[in-house]
Amino acid sequence: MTVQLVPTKAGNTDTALRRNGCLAALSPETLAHLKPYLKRQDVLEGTILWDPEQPSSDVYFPATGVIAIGVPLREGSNVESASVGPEGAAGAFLEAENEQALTRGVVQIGGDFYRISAAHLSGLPNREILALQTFCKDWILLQAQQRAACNAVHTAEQRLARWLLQNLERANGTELRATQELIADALGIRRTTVTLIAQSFQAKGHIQYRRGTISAPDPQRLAKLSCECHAGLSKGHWPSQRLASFSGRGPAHRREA
Amino acid sequence: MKRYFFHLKKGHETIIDPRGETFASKQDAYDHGVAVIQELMRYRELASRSWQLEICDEDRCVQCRLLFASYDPALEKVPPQVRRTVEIVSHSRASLSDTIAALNRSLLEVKATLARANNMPFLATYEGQRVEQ
Repeated sequence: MTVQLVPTKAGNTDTALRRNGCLAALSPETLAHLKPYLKRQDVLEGTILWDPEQPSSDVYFPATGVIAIGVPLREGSNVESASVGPEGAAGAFLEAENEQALTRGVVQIGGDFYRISAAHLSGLPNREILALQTFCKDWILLQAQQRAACNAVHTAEQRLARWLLQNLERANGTELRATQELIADALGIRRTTVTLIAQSFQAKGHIQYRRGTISAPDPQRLAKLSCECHAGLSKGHWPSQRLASFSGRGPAHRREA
Repeated sequence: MKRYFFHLKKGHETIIDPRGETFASKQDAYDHGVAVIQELMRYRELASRSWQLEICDEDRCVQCRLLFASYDPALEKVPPQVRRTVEIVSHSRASLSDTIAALNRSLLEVKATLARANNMPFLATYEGQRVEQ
């Protein structure tokens, strides 16, 4: 299990940094403090960012990808209990101090990530940073609670629709790069099950699946197939949105991001 | 290792598995099929009892057809004769759906053939499959 991080040549321009919603919601002063420590990297799908055997001392801010957080089990499964995309951040601050790490963070959808040492992040005596960490932890806890209920009562079809909607929303559009194997791993079901449900969705025009790219021409139709858990994880709960409200940086700023 | 395909028949709808999976034996493919059935029917047991999963080999020949009702965990504790009755009813319902689907397809084919003969437009595909064979 090696971490494959490929440094990119591009610099940390404010515009590039602000593709992550949390970094976009920070005040210019706070962002300027963090900027020298933020390392931009292309991260490949399947990269393990941290796990109980190799805890990370870093915090990751996805600009375009998604991190799946799960608890690795002996038989090899790592069913997703939460995921974090450009709306938040994840990493070292998730685990309690002096406690054995429990979770594994795997790159579910590869892309541009910003990495910063947790020491540098926490070292900044700033209420915005404290709020950022709290909102990100809340987001992961909320998802874990929702997933526990969702996995207990909802059908594979509803869960797949919910997963697609959540990640399409993160991608800020109607198109998403994801393989059926990846979705099967995230939902803890077999790839054949995902294929059959995706084929059914496609035949009814809810999604289009082409060479690893999934698009939903009308996400509202997909929402009707999803369980209510999708509505429970709406944008209002995103750390980026809560941080923007906390910092007094409204929708106009987020549009700019 | 051989490739097996798992096609789902639910009511009038047939969902094709275009990719399939490779298995060392037919028994492994069967076990995989049963696991897929359990995932698909979980929390919708009553509505999906008449669904069927067709396991086909590389030559697209049907190796077995599994009725969901036979793998319904909700029926595990009921008396065997009741379970058998539910299976028979579910199987009859699945057969009726197959017949209705075949009838609809034949009607579409006839309409398409007549329209073609009269140089009129006709429905070329239905649920992603060619109407005229």
